[in-house]
Amino acid sequence: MKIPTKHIKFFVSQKSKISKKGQLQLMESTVVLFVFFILLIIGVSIYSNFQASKLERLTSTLNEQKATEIARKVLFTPELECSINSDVTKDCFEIQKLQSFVDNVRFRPRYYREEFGNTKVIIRWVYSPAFDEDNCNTKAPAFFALNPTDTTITVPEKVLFDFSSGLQSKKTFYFPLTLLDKRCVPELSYFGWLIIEAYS
Amino acid sequence: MNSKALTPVVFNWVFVLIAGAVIMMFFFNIINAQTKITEKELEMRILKDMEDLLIGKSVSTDTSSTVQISNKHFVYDCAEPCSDLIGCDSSLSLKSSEASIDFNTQPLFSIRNLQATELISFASSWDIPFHAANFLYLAVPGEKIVFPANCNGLCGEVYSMIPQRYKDSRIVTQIEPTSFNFVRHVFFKIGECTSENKPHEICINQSGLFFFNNGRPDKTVNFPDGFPYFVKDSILGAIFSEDAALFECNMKKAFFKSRLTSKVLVGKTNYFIDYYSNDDWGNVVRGTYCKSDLETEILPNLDAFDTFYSNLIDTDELQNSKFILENTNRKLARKSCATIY
Repeated sequence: MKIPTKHIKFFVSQKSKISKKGQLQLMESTVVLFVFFILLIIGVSIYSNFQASKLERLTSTLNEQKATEIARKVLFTPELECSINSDVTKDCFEIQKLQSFVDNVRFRPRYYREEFGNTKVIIRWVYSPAFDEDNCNTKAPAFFALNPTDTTITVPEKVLFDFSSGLQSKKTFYFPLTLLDKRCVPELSYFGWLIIEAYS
Repeated sequence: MNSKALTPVVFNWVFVLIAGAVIMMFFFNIINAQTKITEKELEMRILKDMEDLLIGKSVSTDTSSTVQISNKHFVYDCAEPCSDLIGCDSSLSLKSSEASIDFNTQPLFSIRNLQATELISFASSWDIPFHAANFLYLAVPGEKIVFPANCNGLCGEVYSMIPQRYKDSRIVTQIEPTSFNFVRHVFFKIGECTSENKPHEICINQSGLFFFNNGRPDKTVNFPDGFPYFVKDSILGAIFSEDAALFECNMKKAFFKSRLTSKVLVGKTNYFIDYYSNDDWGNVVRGTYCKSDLETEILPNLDAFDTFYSNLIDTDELQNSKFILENTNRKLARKSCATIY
């Protein structure tokens, strides 16, 4: 059977109409999808930013907590604490124990790393009366002196241990400290800072 | 409707279904991840608070406290490998979680499973005679430590070391308990220690500490014939420990600490021997007798503490060194020399 030409024209025009409508719908769907994915990406980035800032806050809080804990551990370390005839003084280090402690840490780094974590601990000498005959000492404590004959503090800041292990992110905390010099009786006390750098 | 009109409608619905499912899956994933993160965060916070609490307790000696804890199941363990280079493999963890707090160097005496709403803790200073470590003791309600009704002598001394809080909360008692989660019976004997066929017994006599569990001796490879104890804090440690292995592990940690502290004190003693030898110091006479005590009394007796718990056969040598160190330290103070501890 032969189809009349006017019918063929009608079908062709109908087909192109459907095709145009289909193209329009496809474009509409693509735009919807595009907008949807844009919204999704915005949502995910906001969510991940929120999570990251939350994580940062948490890490910061945990680091602060950790530093406080380590400070407490360091301040109460039996190897360093001050005791005069069995009486222990709080927040105080005996200067004459410091070098032996540093040597202990050098020989057993893993043990002390277990105890103090990824931290660096520094002692900073801040103030002392002069070393003279009246004060019984004529020389500066050896731990804070470059040479044994030094009559003034020549190395006011010394690292007790450094377990930072190349980590970069750190929080630093300062704790006041008494440094006890047992060379004289009665003992002399100096003021210093215990500086704790907590790494993560 | 013909099939040509039907196709885009079906396609639309399929698209809506797939997109809807993807969106729902995405949000379910977020919720799921968020729940897991929150749970992990909560567990971390609980453990961190616990760590904070225990570190706080471990440095403040001779005070006891009750702390409300979430009713979580904590598991405490201390096991080999133990070495003075790394401490022991010891941790407190939440049973449901992988997170844990390490106690590789801190002696902590407790039962293995801690599940309660409160935790009672106290710490004592382990002075041998120099302060070497703090012993931390933990207990939870439901745990019972039964002392003899007639408790005199060493029993009375050990009983009086336990804070009243433990007695008020009936963890430490002199009456046979009827209900408990864990019970430990403590006996003090003058002669040989034998079991009374009770669960978790400790018998203490002059030669050592003996653990029994339902009539069977609870011993370790290092100590088949009882554990040596040194100062009364060690007895308290045994009483608060669940079993012999846990006690031994914690005593090893304590002795690692005492070794390290004694090494520092040896260094300090050597410093003062040098210092008193030096003419610059000014007071040659005083320097001579300070130096003499440090060389002859302090140094050799500090060396006695350079030992491991597993190497102890008895504690006679340590007791003797402790006695000499105490006397010499007092003597040094009287002579206006630097005291060693």
